[in-house]
Amino acid sequence: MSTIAINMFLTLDGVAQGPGGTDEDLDGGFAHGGWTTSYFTEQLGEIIWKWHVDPGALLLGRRTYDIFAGFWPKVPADHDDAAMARVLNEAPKYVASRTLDKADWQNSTVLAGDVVEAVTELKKQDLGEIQVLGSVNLAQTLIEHDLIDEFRLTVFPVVLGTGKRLFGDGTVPTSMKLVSATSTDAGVVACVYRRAGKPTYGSFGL
Amino acid sequence: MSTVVVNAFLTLDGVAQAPGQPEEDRDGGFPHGGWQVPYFTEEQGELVGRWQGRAGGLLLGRKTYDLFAAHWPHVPADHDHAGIAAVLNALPKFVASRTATSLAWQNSTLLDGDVPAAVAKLKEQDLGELQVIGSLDLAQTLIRHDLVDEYRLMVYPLLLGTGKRLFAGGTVPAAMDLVSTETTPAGVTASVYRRGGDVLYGSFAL
Repeated sequence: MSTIAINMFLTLDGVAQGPGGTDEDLDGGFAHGGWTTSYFTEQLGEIIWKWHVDPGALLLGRRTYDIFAGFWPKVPADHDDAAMARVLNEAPKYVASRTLDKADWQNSTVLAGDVVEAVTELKKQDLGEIQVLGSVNLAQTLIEHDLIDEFRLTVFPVVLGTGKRLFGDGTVPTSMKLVSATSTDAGVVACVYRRAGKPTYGSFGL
Repeated sequence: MSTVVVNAFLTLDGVAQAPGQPEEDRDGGFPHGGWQVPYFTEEQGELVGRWQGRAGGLLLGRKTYDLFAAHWPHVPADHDHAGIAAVLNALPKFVASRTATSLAWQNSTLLDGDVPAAVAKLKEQDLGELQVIGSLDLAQTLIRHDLVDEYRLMVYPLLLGTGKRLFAGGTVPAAMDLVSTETTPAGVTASVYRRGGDVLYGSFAL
């Protein structure tokens, strides 16, 4: 059995669209791309590095795959991000795409057909931790089908008011266990949550 | 000058509807009321008490006002909550309501007419912290008009998928400064954010 972990950047109002660049994802006329970059400190880099190190596999949507495949294989060996590049280049990668025929980045496999079925099959294998990075559309689909075991949410101190949210309307009611919470000097809060069960309810006697 | 502070309970997916009891707010057929109750610890009670202790006045929507007005004036002097009751009873209360409401609770004033304009006027007076408690519709109105100076957000470790969100459409893009963040043993994160300037954008590139 494998587990699925989502590593995601969010605004305080839950938006996950276009965190890393102005043109990354313009769906819906989104005008706020690149909202993480001014908060990216060494401290945050270290937190994220610990999450990424040694993934069993990566699970990516087509758009994120294309961005990554155009970036990480080209990182020079003496670059600050060289270690991260090595991890991502070497990891097995599964790409959810209805349109992609082949994936050229090393160790990549295209998940054609029904992505929910394909991911359910992957979870039955012993791949260790399968990490979803970026890929907000794919992440939403997996959330709607209750396939995520762990959420690593990095919340940036901005509100945007528009953009795709990680947790959309099809989110399945679920209770979580907070595993850790860390904040950075730049005001970013990084939390890890693990799936626990169904929510329970109560009543304050007001 | 006064500041407007929103104290809110949120799920991980940003829902703020009916945290305290099933019948609190059934708008939209919301079936998850009372979701905060299983997580409410003594530590959190102390934190909420500390936050509310800073209030110079309360800004309340009609629904929350009616709930509070039916409860706090009637708390017996030997009750566990007598301290907080004394604080809330004594504070000036400003009520946003378009319909006639009884203002029988001591020190209550109706904000009639245009609520954003009325709150903007209140901010010019020296009332200290005007705290919005509960009152989700009012909080959303103030967010849409960029009238909130500080957010004290308690994020609970669960997802609901439905329900009114604090940051809905119309949220004005804004950067924040993270003032503090702490966690409770039940996995609730309590973070304080102060309104910063404009959102800065950038792009990651090699």
